[in-house]
Amino acid sequence: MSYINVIASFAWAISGFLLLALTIERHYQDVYGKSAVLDKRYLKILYTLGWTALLISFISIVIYKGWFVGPVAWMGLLAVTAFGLMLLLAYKPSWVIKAAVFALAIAIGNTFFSLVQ
Amino acid sequence: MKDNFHLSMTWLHTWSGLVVGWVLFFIFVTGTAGYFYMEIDRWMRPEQPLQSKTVAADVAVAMAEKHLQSRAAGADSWTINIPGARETPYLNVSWRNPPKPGEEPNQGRGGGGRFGGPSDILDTQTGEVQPSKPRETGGGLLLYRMHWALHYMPYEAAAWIVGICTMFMFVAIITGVIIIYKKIFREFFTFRKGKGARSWMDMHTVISVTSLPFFIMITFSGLLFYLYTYMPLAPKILFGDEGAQRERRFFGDQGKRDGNAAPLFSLVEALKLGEQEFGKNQVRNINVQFPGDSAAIITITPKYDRYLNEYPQLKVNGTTGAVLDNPPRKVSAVEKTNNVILAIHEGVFANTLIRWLYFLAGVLGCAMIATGLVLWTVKRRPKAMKNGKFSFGHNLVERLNIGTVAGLPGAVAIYFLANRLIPVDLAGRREWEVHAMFIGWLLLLIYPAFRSIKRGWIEVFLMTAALYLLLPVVNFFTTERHLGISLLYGDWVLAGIDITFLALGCTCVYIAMKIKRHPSAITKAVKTKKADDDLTPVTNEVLSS
Amino acid sequence: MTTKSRRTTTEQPHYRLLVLSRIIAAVVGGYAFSTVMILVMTYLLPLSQKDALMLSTMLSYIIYLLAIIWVFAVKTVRTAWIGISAATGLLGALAYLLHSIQQ
Repeated sequence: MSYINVIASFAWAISGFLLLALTIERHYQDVYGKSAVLDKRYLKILYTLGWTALLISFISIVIYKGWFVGPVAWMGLLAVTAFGLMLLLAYKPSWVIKAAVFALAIAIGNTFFSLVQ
Repeated sequence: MKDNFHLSMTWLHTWSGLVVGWVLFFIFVTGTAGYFYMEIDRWMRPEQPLQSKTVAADVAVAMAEKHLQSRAAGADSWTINIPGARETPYLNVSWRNPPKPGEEPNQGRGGGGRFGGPSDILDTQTGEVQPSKPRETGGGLLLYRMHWALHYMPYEAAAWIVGICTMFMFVAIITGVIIIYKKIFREFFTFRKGKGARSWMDMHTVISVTSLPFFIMITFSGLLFYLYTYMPLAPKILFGDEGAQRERRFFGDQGKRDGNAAPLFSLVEALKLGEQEFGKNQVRNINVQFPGDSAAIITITPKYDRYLNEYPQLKVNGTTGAVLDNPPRKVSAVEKTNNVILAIHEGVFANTLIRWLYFLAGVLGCAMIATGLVLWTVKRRPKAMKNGKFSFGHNLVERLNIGTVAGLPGAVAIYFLANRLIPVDLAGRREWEVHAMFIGWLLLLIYPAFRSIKRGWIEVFLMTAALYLLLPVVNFFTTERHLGISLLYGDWVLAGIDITFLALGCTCVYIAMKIKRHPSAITKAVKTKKADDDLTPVTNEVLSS
Repeated sequence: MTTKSRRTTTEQPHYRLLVLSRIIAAVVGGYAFSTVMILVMTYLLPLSQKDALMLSTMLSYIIYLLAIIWVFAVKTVRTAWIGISAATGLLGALAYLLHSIQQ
């Protein structure tokens, strides 16, 4: 099941991007409405979680494809994912939280599953 | 140059992007299609058999060896392609006969239809030869070749044109980063829809920023393909007219026959040695030089998708099976870096998933160029409309945009349609497929001159959509390789291409409908409020540059 | 003459000529600069000559890019021309010096 790592990588990338997007005022307002403000306490947490998720995404794909192909594949994966999420934020911001939770669940589940194996 | 650094860079970005934008779009479209050139090759040769059914590698090799012993016992070299890799969809054997007296012995690696020499495709279930007389066509390879060699011009001329455009793109990318530098993270996902020029700017920016590593890599590595062609003066000054040093692929010693007959080492055993070295199911082909002679050498090559571009090979004595010493060519760190960068551009190592990622990244590249070109026109409309009419230059850009962004994909569809519709036995059909493509593009470039801008966009997109949607239908009526057959059989390459045509057609319909519903996105540039417009204000300065 | 009028603004007379001049300075001057830079780097880099040439040529495209950006970033066309010519000349002299040392 070598594709598990790729799904994990995608899922972690989506989670990471969405978490980081929420730290940006404009996108937080896209999701929660104009003049909603993110509590300063949560900013740091979201920021750390977001970057960690992206890091795990990177590690997953490097494990799958090695140090040469891995980073190349990751850049392509990030590009495609970021484009998709941009469309999500623009057209269906109400889905963002659900998407983040869903992606996080898949990511954690996948990683747990492959670690246990 | 302008009042400040930022404005100077904006001017440079705009012009370096615009002047070569249409040629770059052509390069990106052919390059993106080129990632699947082998698959397109197969689609354009429908007389070839469907993909070989899977079979164990040793069974395949045994069948091939038996066939070669009966068909090509006296050949100079044999090659067996083991099905299962992207480059080997069939169990394909080929051989090269000894040169007739007076002929030069063939140089280069042995065999394969592409390099000349007779070949047969074997059915993996029965070992029988499958009929395969493909029509004369340039295939996907010719389409891919246009990516660096363009067409209708000498190779060197194309190399220079493509190189200059690549350098322009390099300038455009870096100046683009400079302009957007402060806002990269703050506006990473920002796309404000329905706001005219602002929306086009957002889309152009988001696509460019999110795919930035890919675009920088592609552009820089593109220049490296012609490392010394574009910068020939230094080697000339240093080494005189011996010419610039060129990368050469060494094929190694061709060797000579001994003349003594000796039984060939079992190729199935050779395969086993190969699998020991490279892993189970990792052997792609087996080549035998001088089978039946005591100087025979067996070369075993692994699949591409695990290696950069220096492919290891296992060489084995053709009679005893003893592994021969085959040290890899010594390569310095600098040369290796160069090779790695080129390999990343081409993606030779890419498996199916990564190849699709490359393809999608290429599509994003086309979208980046397209949104940039449209943005140029949309930004300049307020001033032009105030003046009452568009300048000739502006009009030209508008029409070229339609003919290229919407029209070039249509021209590529015409290339594929021509492949199906031009009679198989017509002499020169290979060239006519290409002529059809460029004639089609020319017509799609001229057509918008007779329509309003809005109608031009909608109609050319609909025409392109129709051309793509027609493809699977024409395929159905003209070949035995249409979706009905490929899906049932499980030939995912052929099916995938037809499905991609359908998807492209539907996308073009969707875009045409979107333009119809929101024509203001194309025809009217909404003058944005100062507060909204926190990038460079659309001043007279920028507009008139 | 105020500083502003020495910028290549559209209000200035001969705007197109000035732009053309910059373009030539960037494209031709930048190219000459990169070529001479290759020569100098080939002599100076502690690698085999073949490797030094390859590495410097690979880098030359980045240097060319930076030269082009510089030519368009400076305030006046005159500065651009003086700058790129002087830099190319200096490097050229250096290359010639290194060449004669190596003989």
